[in-house]
Amino acid sequence: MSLARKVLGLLLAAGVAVAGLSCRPARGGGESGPATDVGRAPRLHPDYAGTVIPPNIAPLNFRIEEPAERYEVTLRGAQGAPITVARGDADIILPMKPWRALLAANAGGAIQLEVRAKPAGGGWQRFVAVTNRVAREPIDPVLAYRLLKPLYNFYSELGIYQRDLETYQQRPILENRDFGGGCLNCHTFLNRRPDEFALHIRGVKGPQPMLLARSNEVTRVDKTAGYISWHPSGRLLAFSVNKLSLFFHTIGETRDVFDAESDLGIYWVASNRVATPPPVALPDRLETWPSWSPDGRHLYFCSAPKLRRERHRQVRYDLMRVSFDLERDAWGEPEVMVSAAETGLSAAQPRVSPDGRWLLFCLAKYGHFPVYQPSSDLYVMDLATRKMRRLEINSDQSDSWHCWSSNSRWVVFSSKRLDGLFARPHFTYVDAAGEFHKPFLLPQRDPLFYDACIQTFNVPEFVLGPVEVSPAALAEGVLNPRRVLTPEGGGPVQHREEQNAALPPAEAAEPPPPQ
Amino acid sequence: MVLLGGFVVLCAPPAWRYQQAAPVFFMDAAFFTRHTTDPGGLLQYAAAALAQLNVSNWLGGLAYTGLLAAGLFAATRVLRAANRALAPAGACALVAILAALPGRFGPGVEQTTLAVLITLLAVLAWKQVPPARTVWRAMVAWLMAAALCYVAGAVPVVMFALLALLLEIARGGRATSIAACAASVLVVPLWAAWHRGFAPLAAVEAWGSGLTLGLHVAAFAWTPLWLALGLVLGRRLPQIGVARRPLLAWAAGGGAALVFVWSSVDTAQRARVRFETLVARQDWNAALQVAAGVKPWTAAARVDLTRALFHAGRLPGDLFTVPQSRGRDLLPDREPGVDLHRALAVTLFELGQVNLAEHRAHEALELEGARPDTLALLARINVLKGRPKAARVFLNRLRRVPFHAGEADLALRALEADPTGAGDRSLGEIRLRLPRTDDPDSRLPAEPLLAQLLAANPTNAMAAAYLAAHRLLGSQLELLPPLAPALKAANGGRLPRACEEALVLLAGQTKGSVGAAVESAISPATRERYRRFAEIAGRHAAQPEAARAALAAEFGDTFWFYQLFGETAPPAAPASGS
Repeated sequence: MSLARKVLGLLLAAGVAVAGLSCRPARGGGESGPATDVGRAPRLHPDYAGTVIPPNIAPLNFRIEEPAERYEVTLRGAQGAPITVARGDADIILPMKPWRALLAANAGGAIQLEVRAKPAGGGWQRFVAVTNRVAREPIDPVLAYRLLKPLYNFYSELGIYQRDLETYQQRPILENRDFGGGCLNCHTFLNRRPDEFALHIRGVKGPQPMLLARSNEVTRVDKTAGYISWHPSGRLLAFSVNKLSLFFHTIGETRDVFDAESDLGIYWVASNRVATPPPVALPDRLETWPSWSPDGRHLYFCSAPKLRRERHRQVRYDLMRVSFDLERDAWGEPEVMVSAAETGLSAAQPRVSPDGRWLLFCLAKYGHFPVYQPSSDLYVMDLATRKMRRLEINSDQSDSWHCWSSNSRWVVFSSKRLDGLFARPHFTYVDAAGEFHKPFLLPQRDPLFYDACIQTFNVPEFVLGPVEVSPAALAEGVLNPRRVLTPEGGGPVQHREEQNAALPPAEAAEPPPPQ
Repeated sequence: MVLLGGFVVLCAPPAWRYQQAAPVFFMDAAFFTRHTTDPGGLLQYAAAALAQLNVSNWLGGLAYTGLLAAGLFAATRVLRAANRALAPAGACALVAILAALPGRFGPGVEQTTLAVLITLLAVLAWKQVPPARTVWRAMVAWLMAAALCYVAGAVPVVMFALLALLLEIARGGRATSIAACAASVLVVPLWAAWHRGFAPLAAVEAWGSGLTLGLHVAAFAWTPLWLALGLVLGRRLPQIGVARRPLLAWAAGGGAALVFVWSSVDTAQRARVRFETLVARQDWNAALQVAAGVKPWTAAARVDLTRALFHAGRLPGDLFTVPQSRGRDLLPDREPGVDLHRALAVTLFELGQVNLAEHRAHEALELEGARPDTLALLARINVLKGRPKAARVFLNRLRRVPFHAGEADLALRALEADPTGAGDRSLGEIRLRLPRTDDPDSRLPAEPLLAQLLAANPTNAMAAAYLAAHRLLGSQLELLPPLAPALKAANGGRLPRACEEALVLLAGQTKGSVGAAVESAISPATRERYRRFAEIAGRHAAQPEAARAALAAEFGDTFWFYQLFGETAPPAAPASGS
């Protein structure tokens, strides 16, 4: 063998050896070179670690909060092709298609997130892998919410938006600039259907209307109401009428809301008739937060004795329900589900899971408006056993505005846990045993989106598909409606909310409802 | 142009306008995207970006001068089509109108100037279509109008259509061509019908009233009017002036523009904006000097004035050396003015009422938008409220405002190192003033709020000074003696002048039962002065107007005068301290 051949052979052998080593799933190694183990999980922002995610959620982009000059992230599951992202900055933007494929392949399993970082002047470091479970059950594909700054008395820009949870697309359902200002609130969907919903408009000239979208046809109903809930049959709406006033504390949480008078009423859609069933409009009680059970046989609500505002810290609401026979329009006797006297806490926002098993609600120290109460926590009651418990997923800040997905496996809620001021949508997986798993934040394309977002998200509601009725059609329903209904019958009259401060109309409209 | 630009900067320094009403602008994609959905949004975006340069007088002045120069060039080119002799004069007049806009200290200066310039450039571009191609000219006119409508809104489209109509007439176009070009204005109603949220005249609402409104209207109307005039006069106008002595003509035009700009400055607004800027820079004594020229006083300016008096060490002593009138609240919460909430927020924050400051700062955020100073204040409020992560959100937002990234970065680093702000001296001072009890209310009643602060911390000198001022303005004399020790302590052992004056009056009314300590704190000179005041007032007891005239010069800045006439008559410039 000539010398040249020997050299060539040696080079070839060395090449094969190197290639073999680089292909091996080597300990501490990788395509970027060997790495030392850090012995802990990486700090991720937002905290997308140890949670359960839906198989159809948009990529959970994040920032690695570990100082380094290069990062390498690999997502892998038992099935499907792994995703590797190598970057010079810490913001990890995951590719949409491979992400979807990976989640779909691992539904019911888990995905692991391996992070490696190379600090300036140092070698590669490998962090303990982060595991997230992928649920089998998908989440409803659209989330509708109101987006506004943390408001007090005045407002200028606000809107209700729909977010495609499978991508990052956010589109307006209706913005107040579409109809020359005014306030928008309490969007409520009938069984999460995108073509059947109601919302309220206030602060406009004339009656403060409710907009009803039925099969995408918009009707203006000149009936002012507070919180609303569709009966699952779609034939009627339960609504509250409230006399709310916003006031301010000099220590602690600044904003507070007092409800001086409230009752519940029923709006029969087909007959355009309003009724006030006596069991939910007692003269000596405040009734609010109506919410139908999924079978339509019970109306849940909150009820408290009427007290003066000076005693606002003593106002605590019981969680009640009353039976209802749709065909006979017959009401039963109200029954206490959660007694304020027993818990020492005040109930709000009851929502029953679509499978009828769980009742999710808020309890706070006092009052009826949990989003202004840092003490507000989510509680769940097993309707089969009537046993209730405080959820482990609560934070030390306000957790409220919850909504069940159509398959009863996901709950979205607004939480101020990130900073104590801005409410952000969080999702939690509820397993068959009723365990609520570690919540995760609504993902955004920009991992740092929430770090500079001075808007708050409230009333997040799941929807089964995109809302097709256009903002223009809804605005027309306010300004120049084709169909206007003025309900017949008595019914509770909406109390005028107290105006806490005044500016000339050119500068501000009426105070918004508290968020 | 340089001379004119410099003159505009002198008349209306861009930095003052920035402090007064810099449009909100963020360097991020979401903010840009928001401006792409509605007609006129891109112009708003560009104008807001341009207005950020006003943070510095040099940058703002340079940018606006550039706009004026471009406007002069474009207007001259457009106007030449009808009459070459009249074109320079018309263009100079347009530039003078645009140059006068900043001196009105209203919103929409950059927006109107940019809109006029864009329209003129669109007309120049449209003129490039060969005259023979009539159909093409009409089509391009419609396309231009549609593009203008999207970029700049409805008003520029109207201006464009008028100019297109007149230029078609000037070139002797056919009636159909003239009509087709003029009809490009129909883009606006068509767009409004298609896009329900489009309010064609929304921009006009920002133009203000009176001369300010007139200038905005003139900025858009001038070029078409001058073009029409040129057409009417045609060749009948002798070709003198410009053609023979161009330098003289330009000089005359420039001189006239300077005079016009100078004479159109809103001096009252200018004084108020200057005062506001000096307060924002915490140049208290200069602010109080400028205050003499402020008229009328807005609620926000009055709140700032009280704060300036306090920081200059002149509250409540010199409370009546500045304009006051009975019935005005020290902390007005229901008076008009979107800037009131910002002024109240700063005052309440310094007083220690951090929750109420938070309320007002959020009102300001909603009504005025995310101004840099409001964002910075909200960050500090949240640090004090133990919400450093919320403070970080506001600072991250501030980081996206041009020219404020450095300030935000510094604050973010400080927050990272000290999330509670324990090492921040100014926050530490406010922390000592925080109330310790809850006093829930939906309004802003000065008496209980200030009393609550004093109860929490009797050494809160600001609360004591404000409470004394509140009681003086409300003529609650019997409530002043309890404050005397705190006021004396804060005033070098002497009672502040206005309090002394009030207590002299109280001592007289109560026959000396105000207490020996208070009696002894009133100086003989003040007693003597009051005796003289009472003597002159008594001399004219039956003639209030005569009494007022006789007392104003010597006693117009005293509590006694305020008590008697319900307002002060301070000298032209407030005294520099008592």
